[in-house]
Amino acid sequence: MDIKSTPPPPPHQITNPSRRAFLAWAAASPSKPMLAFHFLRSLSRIQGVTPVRRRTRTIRRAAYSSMARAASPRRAWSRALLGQARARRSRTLTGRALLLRRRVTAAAPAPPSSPAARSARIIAAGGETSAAARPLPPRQVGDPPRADALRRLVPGGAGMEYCSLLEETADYLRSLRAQVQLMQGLVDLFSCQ
Amino acid sequence: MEGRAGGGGGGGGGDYISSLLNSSPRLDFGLLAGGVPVMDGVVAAGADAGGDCLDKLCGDPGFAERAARLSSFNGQRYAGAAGLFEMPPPAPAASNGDFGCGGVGSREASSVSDPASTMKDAIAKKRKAPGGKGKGKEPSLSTSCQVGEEKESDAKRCKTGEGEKKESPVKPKAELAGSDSSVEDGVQKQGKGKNAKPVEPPKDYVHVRARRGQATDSHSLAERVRRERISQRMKVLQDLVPGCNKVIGKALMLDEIINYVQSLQRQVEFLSMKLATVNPLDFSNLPTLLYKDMYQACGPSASPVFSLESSNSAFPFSEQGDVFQSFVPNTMENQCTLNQLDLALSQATNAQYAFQDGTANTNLQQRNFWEDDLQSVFHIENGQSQENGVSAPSFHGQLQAGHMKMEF
Repeated sequence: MDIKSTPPPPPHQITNPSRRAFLAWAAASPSKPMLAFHFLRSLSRIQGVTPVRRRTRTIRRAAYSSMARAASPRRAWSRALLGQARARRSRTLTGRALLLRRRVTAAAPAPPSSPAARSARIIAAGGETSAAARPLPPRQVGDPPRADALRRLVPGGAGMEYCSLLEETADYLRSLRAQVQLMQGLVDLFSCQ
Repeated sequence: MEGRAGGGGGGGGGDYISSLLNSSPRLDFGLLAGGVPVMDGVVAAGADAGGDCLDKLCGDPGFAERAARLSSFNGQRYAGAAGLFEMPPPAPAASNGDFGCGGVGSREASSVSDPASTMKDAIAKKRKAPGGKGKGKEPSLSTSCQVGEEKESDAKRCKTGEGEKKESPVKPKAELAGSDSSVEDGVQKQGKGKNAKPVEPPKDYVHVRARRGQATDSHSLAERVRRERISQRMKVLQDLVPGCNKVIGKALMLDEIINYVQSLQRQVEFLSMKLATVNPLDFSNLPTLLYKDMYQACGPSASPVFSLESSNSAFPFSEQGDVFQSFVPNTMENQCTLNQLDLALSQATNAQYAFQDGTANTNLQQRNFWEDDLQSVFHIENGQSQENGVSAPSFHGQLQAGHMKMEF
């Protein structure tokens, strides 16, 4: 294992207190190591040359994707998040969409819609995660008054009835909290070396 | 109590029973009009619940033996008890209720409630069709048994039977219809009947107990079930969201939940910004050694979903010496993942140590090592796992494209 110039600390000796805390946190529940793994893996693929803003966005998306991967696929929010990620990727990958995005960012008038461009635009609109761009989810009857806000917040919450929405919210909250703790731990780790 | 026992026993199967009853002063057997079959069923149920239960119940160790001897239903306790409960005359029901209740010094309530609850389960199992009689017997028994305990069968007209005498050996049949619950209440006005109804033991459909004075048509029942579910989930959420305990009421709690979700999402955003600024180059060093360690430590207990899923996602990685390329993760066993994480973190934080020089070599070595390891441990070849993407198409279909360097 000694392949570096300086020998790394042996794997079972945890020297750094924040690292210790981090690993203790990761051992706390069965889903947390998975979360950490996915997130760290996605973080490792970030190249250092990107500007900070773009990196922020990438890290945020990596966070949500790792949350979704670490969660059980039975969860609707997990599927919805991964679906969003996939749509985003397909949106960026289609050549037309690339063209479209440049035009949109340049605030140009709408390009002539061909079927490909239109579908790309739809995908672009659908993949947009900001609430403003998304049409409001159809309000379901029998909802308490603020349920639609919750639907907007929880991914995939639009199509569910209120009862399952609450269940998904609980699971989403757990996962979100774990993700926040993970990221906070990483920040501590990296900032106090 | 003894007078009652004596009086009850007198009508039944003779002196033997009355002697049995008399021998246990704490039991309140009430009217044992059913005679021997009643006794048999009851005793069978009691005996089979364990001699110790009966001991506690009766306070008389000899009673258990006598009961066992008397019983001829040993093999069919539940059937006996259930069949017993469905007997039409109310007196046996009353006697059963008293039998259960008699054991209560509210100390023995717990031990009594075990056979009672098992009997209740037996009843519940038989209660497929609207068997009103079965239901009628069951609540009286169970509630009487769970005296003084806030158990789930509170709604079932619980008799606080501290030696309480029943006014009349009335039909304690609690039918599902609300009208009958009023009949029940006429018998035992405890006030506990008005409390929250229990959640029935899970069966193929949900039994809902009507509260007093509430409608019992199918719509309102379904509504009530739905409301119960929603309140259960709200309770779960209340535990999750900190500071939600002070808030009472669905609307306010919903606001709290929304605020909490929003704050968590904002925190994710903020932390991602911080992560982006705090360490520009560490991530490219996130290593390699980890996963080797992880493979060594992890056993071949791969859950197929995860392995396939992760293998699909591991596929398109075409980083220069990236670990993840040959990494076919299995279930994250805590230990190996922790080792792995530890290594990752140590190496990430020790960025100044030179990875660059040794990177290529080490990765090559490790990749070879891993592939041997992987194939032996996981039996998943890279090529094979790629085909198995059908297992999780919705997640990872697009990952085959291999354009995943930055976007995640």
